[in-house]
Amino acid sequence: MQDISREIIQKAAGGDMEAFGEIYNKTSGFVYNVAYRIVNNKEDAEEVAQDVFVNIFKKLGTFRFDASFKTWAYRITTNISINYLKRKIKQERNHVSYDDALEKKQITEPAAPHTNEPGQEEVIHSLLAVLNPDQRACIVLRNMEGLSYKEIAESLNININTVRSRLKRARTLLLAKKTEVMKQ
Amino acid sequence: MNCKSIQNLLLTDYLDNELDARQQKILEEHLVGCRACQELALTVKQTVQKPFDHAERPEPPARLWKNIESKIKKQHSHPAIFAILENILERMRFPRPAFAFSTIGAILIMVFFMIKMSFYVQQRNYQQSAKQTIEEQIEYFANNNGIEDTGFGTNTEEYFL
Repeated sequence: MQDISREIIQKAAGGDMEAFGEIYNKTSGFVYNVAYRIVNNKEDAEEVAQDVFVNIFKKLGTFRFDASFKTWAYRITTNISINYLKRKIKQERNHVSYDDALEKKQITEPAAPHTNEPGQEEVIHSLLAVLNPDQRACIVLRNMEGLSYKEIAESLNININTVRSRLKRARTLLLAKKTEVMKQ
Repeated sequence: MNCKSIQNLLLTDYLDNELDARQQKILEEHLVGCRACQELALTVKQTVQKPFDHAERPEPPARLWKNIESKIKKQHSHPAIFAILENILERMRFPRPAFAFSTIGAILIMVFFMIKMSFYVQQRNYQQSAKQTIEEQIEYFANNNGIEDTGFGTNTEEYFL
């Protein structure tokens, strides 16, 4: 992401939509990608990304310039994505029915291609599906966004050792999942 | 470092290049002499890292910016209303247990009263219908016995004597 100047941020904070559009152009790529990978489907990702940017716009006036704008944007994105996913999981648990399960299957699983080998997207999708929201966020920020442990800790507002333990737990689960898939 | 510590690092700092030069050297020296940790290092790279390498980064749909702009403009023109509406819609979309229970309670009370009202109305209808039937029967018997219909309940003594 190219750096966003202080001037642009201040203009956008004042309600300038053109300035905010510039912020959107520079951040929408990773915001949408993080939202998509955490909620694991495109329809929900669009809704989450919309909420993220509306939130960013509302809170621009509170941005203090003492941290990087990117880290701040990551924090809002992961918070909203994780909360969305947790609420969705809770709602699905309370309303389990055949129709819901079928709809969930259609929403969360991409259409299977007509090949024997799973594509990369299918593999990623099935790997992320075994993780809880917090673990998923850590794997996405580390493996897909390339953030350092310090940046992940700042984005998730957690201790750096918590980042380590979530990554370790997540990767142990992924190893177990891959072993299970290979046995099949 | 023992194998357990090494294996923890293989799943975290070593894989993510978070080790300093000294720790990296110690770990790699261990890997040279330990087959189990070597295999784990390879498996972790293949299973946990490789699938995510060069993963697709989907572009956000074009309509996303339009939707964001539109929502911000609406909120700007009616900020207080939208904050309240958003709050209500949020609660309805994902109702918290207390809110859900109180809503269900209110609905049940309404349903209870509606049922009770309908029973009351039905009972009243039955009573009126029964009263009418009795009056007709009495009128019938009174006419058949040649007794002049003086009206039920207006002069009891006249009726029975």
